[in-house]
Parts: sequence; C-alpha cells; structure tokens
Amino acid sequence: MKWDVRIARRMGRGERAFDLDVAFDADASRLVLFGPSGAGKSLTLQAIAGLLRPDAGHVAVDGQVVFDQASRRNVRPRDRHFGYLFQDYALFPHLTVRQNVAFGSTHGLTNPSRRDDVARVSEWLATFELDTLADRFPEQLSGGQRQRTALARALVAQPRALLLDEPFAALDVPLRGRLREELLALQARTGLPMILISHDPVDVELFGERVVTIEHGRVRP
Amino acid sequence: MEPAWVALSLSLKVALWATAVGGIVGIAIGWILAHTRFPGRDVVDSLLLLPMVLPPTVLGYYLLVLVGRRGTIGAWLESTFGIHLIFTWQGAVIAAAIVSFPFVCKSARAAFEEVDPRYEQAARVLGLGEAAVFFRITLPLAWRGILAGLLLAFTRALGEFGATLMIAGSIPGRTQTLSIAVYEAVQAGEDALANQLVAIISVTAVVILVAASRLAPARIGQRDLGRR
Repeated sequence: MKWDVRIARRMGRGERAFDLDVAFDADASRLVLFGPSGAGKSLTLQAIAGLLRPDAGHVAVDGQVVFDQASRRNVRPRDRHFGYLFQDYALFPHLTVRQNVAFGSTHGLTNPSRRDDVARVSEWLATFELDTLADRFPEQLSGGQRQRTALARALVAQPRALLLDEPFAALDVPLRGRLREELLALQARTGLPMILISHDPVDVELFGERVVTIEHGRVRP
Repeated sequence: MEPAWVALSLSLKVALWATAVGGIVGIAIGWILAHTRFPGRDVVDSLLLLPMVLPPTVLGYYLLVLVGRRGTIGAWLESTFGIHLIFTWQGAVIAAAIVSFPFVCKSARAAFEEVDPRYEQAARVLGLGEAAVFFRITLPLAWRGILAGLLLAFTRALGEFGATLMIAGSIPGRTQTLSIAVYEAVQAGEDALANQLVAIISVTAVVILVAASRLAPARIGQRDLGRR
C-alpha cells in the first residue's frame, strides 16, 4: 500500500507548543513508525485516520487523497475505512465482547444485541479464541484478550488497512512475544496492510518492511 | 377523589411533563457545553444557573411578561395556534421545566465530559455517524449521571411553587398542585388536609433523593482507560 503523508499541526500554545511536521512516502504492507514516546507518532497516526485535522499538508493512500488542506478535502474517519487499534484498546465498557466485535457491522442508531449471531463476527471470535468469552465485559478480560477483542472489532468492519498504536505496550513481556507472532501470522494470511507505531526495536525488526523514524515531531532523515 | 390525591396526581403530571421537556432541553444544552468551544461559553454556563438562584416569583414574572396574553411569545401563540398558557396546567409545566432544567443541564454536561473521547473516536473509525455515536456510545456511558440529574429535576419540579402560582394560579383540580394546595390549606386553617399533603410530598421527595444518590456519577466510562 502506498502512503503519501505530509502533515503539519501545532498542538497547544506558547512555550508548551508542540510542532508536528511529518512527511514520508512509503510503499509497504508493513510500515513501522518508530521513535521515543512523545515524538508525535500517535498524532501522525490520528491524522492518517482522520481523528486529528492537520493545519496543513495532505494524506493520500494508494493515490486516493483523504486529506488535502489546499483543496479543503477532509474525508471523515468513517469514510476512510481504516481499522484503528488504540493504545489501551478503547473497548466499549458497556458492551460485551461479542457486541464490541460486532460494533462496526451495523451503522444504525442501536447497538448490536447480545444475542446477535452474525457469521463474520462469530468467525473472528473463533479466530481469536474469544468465543468462550463472548458474553464478558471488557473489564473482565486480561490484557491479551482485550487486544484480541480490539483486533477482531477492527477487522469485522473490513478495513483496507490497520493502524496500530503501540499494540503491545500494554502487555507483559511473555504475552508480547506471542501476540507479535499472532499479528504477523494474521498479516501474512490476510495480506492486510498495516502501520504500526512502536518505540521497541523488536517491533522494527519483526514488522518493519519499511521504517519511518520520528523524533521531536519530525522524520529523521 | 379526595382533594389531596387530585392535587398529587396533578403535581405528578406537571412534574413528569416538566422533566421530559426540561430533560430534552437540558441534555441537548449539556452536550453542546461539553463538546463545543465557543466564545462566551462560560457566560452561558453561568446564565443557565439563573433559574436556580432567582426567586421563583421573579421567574414567574418574566414568564408572565413573555407568554402572557400581551407578551411577545404569548401574543404569537394566541394568534397562530389559539393557545393560552396562563391559568392552565401546561403553563405550570413551563414554569416547572424552567426551574428544573438546570439540574439536568449541569449533570448532563459533567456526565458527557466524563466519557473518554477515545470511545467516540473508536466508534467513528468503525463507520458510525455522529447521531449513532451519540446514541450508541455517549448516551449509554453518560446515562447514570444524567438520570441522577433527571431525578433531581423531577423533585424540584414537584416542589415548584412560586413561578407556578404566578403563571398558572391556584385552581383546584386544574392548576392547584400539591405544594400550592399546602399553602391554601394552611391559609384556610384546614390543618388535617395540610398534614396529609405535607406527608405525601415529603415521602415522595425522600424516595426520589435516595434513588438519585444510588445513581452517583458512573465511572464505567473511564474505568479501563489510563490517563493520556
């Protein structure tokens, strides 16, 4: 997948202002945004997903412009069709695992019911070994189960790419290794392009078909 | 029916309608205050407290000026729809809604601000429009806080006296609510009736307050997310 990102955004004001000015071109199915925390990686990913509006620049995916300040084009997040994995997963606390996973399968005003049995949902629940946990609430899950639920939730919406914000940071070390392998296998099986944010060199090693290093709001050449 | 029960049922009817009207308005304003930044937002926020601090008779007077027969809104209502609000139970609903909606507004704003914005963002990325985000994420996560405000608003509406008396008067069976009936009973020296009325209204208020305190602001909206 071709990523063409050139964005600038000032966060905050005065002495505490942070200037994000990131530009990179990449053609990769596994792209890692690498750098220390506070460097602006998450902001960059949010801008790609449409959750943060840059002050200037453009974002294009496979040649399709999703944001362009010059022509005032700003495709809404819901129309960009990305799967987004938040750092702490942001599972909806009032919905069961099944409802969370099924969330993106319906766009109406009501949440999927607890008994809904959509084939696509059940398949992903089974893939991530969540079928026995389907009726639990997020706060009853372990870290690894939360991550799997969040991944399944993103995948059910049939995204064209996955954006993963530090997907392993919230997990303890042994689990981290296992879930890295799971994610790699998933990517190999589905061919789904992904951008992964990390400050861990191990992730660069494993996922970095292409690596963009971000420091102090800028791409290190 | 005994006069006390007539007054109670009228009070409940007025308070329910007032809570419904004030609830919708209060939730809408609370959402706007929690989700938008505009100049003068703090001023608006303070002005919304006016109905809580102004003497109800002053509110009643304002209402008379506005929706009375010669008031701007009142004259328009009469010429367009033939509606009179003065000395009707609907007028009492308006008075009660105005004194009670700030309770909903305040608690709704606080409850909406408690909802971690990342849940709303996650829903948007998953393909939901703004209305769906509100009904599927924001409202369910803020619901307990809002409900507590609604119960307080209902209690306040139930006890409304001054503004209601100014705008709806005290017509037994039509606009004489419980709190007004207490006043009338005492004035008329009917102590037995007054005692009965006071007992009814006290018990109702206590029940509602206990229910409201059980619904302390929900923490569920932020439980599994750390600070950013």
